[in-house]
Amino acid sequence: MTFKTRSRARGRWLSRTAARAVLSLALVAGSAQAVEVGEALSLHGFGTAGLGRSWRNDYLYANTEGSGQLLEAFLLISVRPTERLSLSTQFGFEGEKSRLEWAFGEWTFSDALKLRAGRSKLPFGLSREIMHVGTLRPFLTLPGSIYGPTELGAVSYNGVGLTGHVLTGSWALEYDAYAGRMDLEEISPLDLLEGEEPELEPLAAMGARLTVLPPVEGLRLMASGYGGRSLESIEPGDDAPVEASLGVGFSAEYLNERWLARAEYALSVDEQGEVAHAGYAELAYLFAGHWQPAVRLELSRTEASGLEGPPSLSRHRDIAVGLNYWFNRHFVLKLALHNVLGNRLAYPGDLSPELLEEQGLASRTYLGTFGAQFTF
Amino acid sequence: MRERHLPLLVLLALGTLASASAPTAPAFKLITHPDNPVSTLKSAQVAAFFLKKDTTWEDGALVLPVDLSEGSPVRVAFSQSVLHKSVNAVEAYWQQRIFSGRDVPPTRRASEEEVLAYVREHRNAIGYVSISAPESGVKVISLSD
Repeated sequence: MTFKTRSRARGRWLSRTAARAVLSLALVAGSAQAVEVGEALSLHGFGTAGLGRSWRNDYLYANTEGSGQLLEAFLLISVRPTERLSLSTQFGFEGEKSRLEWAFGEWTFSDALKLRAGRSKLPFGLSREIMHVGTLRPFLTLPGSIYGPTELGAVSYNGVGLTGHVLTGSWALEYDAYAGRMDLEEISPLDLLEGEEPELEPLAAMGARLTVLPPVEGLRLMASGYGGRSLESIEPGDDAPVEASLGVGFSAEYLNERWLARAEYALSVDEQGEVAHAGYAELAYLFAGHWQPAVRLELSRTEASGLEGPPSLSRHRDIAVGLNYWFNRHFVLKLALHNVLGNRLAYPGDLSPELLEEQGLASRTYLGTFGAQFTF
Repeated sequence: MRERHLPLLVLLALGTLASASAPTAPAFKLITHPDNPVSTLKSAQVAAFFLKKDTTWEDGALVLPVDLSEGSPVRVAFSQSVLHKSVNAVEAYWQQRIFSGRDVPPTRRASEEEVLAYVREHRNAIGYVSISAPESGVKVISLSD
């Protein structure tokens, strides 16, 4: 065993051990209470353990061999050294990888004005900031066309931001505004066919999100957007016109004791002029206190001049049905079946021009998932 | 193979243990520190304090709301009549706030005695206890619509 192999093996062991430690912490915490150490420090966590099997193509975390599994755990630490200053960080342990999700400081001037600096979760849409928190959604995973490795794929930004909320009578408004660097994590089957390796694309960006809470309990409306330029395309003395990337999203959510309804639409335009439309609607109903059937329809389409390859590579439609059992607000078991058309997000693991020529591409994919998700 | 599925089995066991039935809801009263000049609060104001939508008293001091733990029947009553949400919905609200890195929920105490002790010790605290709880060292404030 070489040093590099030993080091990698040690890293995998550490990540697995850390993930198990968070799962154990959840067990110790009884899955219902955060760990509050005094009033200034609190620990929270969440995680997912899921199994998946897909047919015809790989999709989400599942593959056609049936060995796909999703094991991830996150630990969030919040410290409030003074009344106005808070420091927060979140670590993630996903499979064999571990990473710092975000870490930032926030200074509160008032409820209407808070200043953030550091690496913050990207305030985009309903779920970008809470992408891995499974107890806040009806399906094991979020709709991939908005929250997956697409043109909208940034997870966080490194920079500064303002946030706050204002109460106006029975209405409430929340806002976020930010500027900094964000890394787009797009994986496109069209790029894979051209032999390109998936890589992070750094973007110098500015963005904002406005949330309106009308006087209807459980209703939220949002508009989000950002614009930026690839840091790789900025060169000293370059007089070429600036080509911007942008993402825009509109979201609506209604929650009450039994019903959950969400719909989102997002549009992205990248520097090459590739335009992607994505949207979904989902509905879930809780009955007998524990059982929750759920349905979701997700659609996306990518348009650009000169796109090569089968048209299915730029399209995606996923009809999903699920059945969940909630033990309590902090722990849920989820079973779901997906019927997918298109190969934008579902394609063979070894996608290549040779494979395409020899075997063609199955445009329909089936997926079954089962898993458990928790928070504490 | 068995090791691969261990986390799933742990989570299954965890959920089975954590499952609990909802208790019936008794009445409650709101309490503050005796030095707090406030004697009446609107229900919407109290809700804003406990959901941290408003975090300061009129004099600018930081409000310190203190909650009872999730299983408490007094908390069920408070959540329904003041926050107009079930405890479940309040927990979902806090999950959203916590995990997006925006806020943490009010400090929690496991018993009414601990809530009373917290309010006695903190001038800017506000809490709720059952109607029959003792009132020494705290001030009961009235709730208006």
